[in-house]
Amino acid sequence: MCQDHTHGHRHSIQCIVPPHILENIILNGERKQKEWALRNLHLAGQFRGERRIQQAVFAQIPTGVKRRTIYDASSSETLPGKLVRGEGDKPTGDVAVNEAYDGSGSVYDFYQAIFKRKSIDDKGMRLDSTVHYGQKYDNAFWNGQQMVYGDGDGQLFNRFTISIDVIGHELTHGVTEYEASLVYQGETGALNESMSDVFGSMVLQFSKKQKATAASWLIGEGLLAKGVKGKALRSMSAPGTAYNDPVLGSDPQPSHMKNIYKGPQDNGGVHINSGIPNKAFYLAATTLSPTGYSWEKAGAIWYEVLCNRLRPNSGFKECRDHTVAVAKSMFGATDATKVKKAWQAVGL
Amino acid sequence: MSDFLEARLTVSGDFLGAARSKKVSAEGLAPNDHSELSRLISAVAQAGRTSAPGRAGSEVKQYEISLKMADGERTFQAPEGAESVAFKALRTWLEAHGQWVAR
Repeated sequence: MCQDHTHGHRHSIQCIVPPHILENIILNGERKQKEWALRNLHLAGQFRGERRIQQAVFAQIPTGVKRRTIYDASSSETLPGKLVRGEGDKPTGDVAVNEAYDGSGSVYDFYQAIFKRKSIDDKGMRLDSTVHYGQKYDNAFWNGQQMVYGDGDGQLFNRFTISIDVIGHELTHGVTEYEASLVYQGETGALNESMSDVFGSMVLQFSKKQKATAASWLIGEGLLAKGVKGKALRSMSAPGTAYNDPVLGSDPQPSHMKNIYKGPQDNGGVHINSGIPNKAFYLAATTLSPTGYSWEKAGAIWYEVLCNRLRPNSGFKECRDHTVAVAKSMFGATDATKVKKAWQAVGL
Repeated sequence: MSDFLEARLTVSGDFLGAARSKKVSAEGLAPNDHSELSRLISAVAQAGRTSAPGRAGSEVKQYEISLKMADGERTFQAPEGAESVAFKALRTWLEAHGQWVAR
């Protein structure tokens, strides 16, 4: 194996083992050899992400074990980038790396503790994140395999790892993909976005041990750069009030069906019309649990609906009907009425 | 292709959701920048429209470049991950040199 000449122990940077041999080690080696080989493939930028290789590495890892891996794209748009922190590694000097690591851990803990869910796919999937993606990239996304975070342009946005609810939002896109698989367009896409805000907000509340009525219900607090007139990117309790800035304009989110956006921008308003089901969830959470936590009743109902009721083309009305029905079966008629009233308040 | 008067880049679809725009006007542009922008615009016009789908996943940006030319207006659109080389070069240039437009 490769030697670090400075410290005399194994070190991957100076490794010249060709990738096909590393892949053979991943397939046939022992646990530590497999991890060493995988690390070298990543560092050399030669990891091809082949499913058989990944399965060989992680087959021995029991489900329910947190596996976070953080990469650095170094301002490029190549994914996943250079491996900079794995599970159990010490914090680095890079705040974005540490935020992505800690934040994805908080999301994992929330889903595990509240819903007994084992990672994104409920089978212990590794949580991969890439930070420093692109140049001044003002966005974060889930690409079907991993989370990706930009540094923001500094003028309008700070780095996207700064808000734990943003990390919860992105990971929940993964959960949605494995469950209802809501199509990312129009009203169904807005429901997809709302699910990410709903569970992202609960992750934040869980990490702060906040009760439903004490939460800010803001998404992306701290994300807007200094000088931008706004407190966050979205408000679940009062959609349309998060910001009002000369460049960003005013927050376009409607809080009622009568103001639903019907234009082509934003993939048919997926981040705009999500304000409607977001507000319904906020009202349900605060009326179902006026002295408790949002996940105790409303979160449990929405999770069941996301995992077992919604279908890829479901819209707001189906979500309303399912949440009311699940509320009744889980908590009884009185709570079902509260959920129904929450939807009525937003015009559904 | 006729001279451009104004180029505007509008972005939507990302985490923010709301559209926002940057603008570059021909007026007051340094000669070097003017010729570079003219070259990038010509390349986009020749490349034509992109019809490929964008990248997979959430928060897919949608880019729209509107060009006000001496002989009329033209608009080009592309989703993130499906930009042509020419479109991406022009978009990147506008991001670097444009000024945010008040809404």
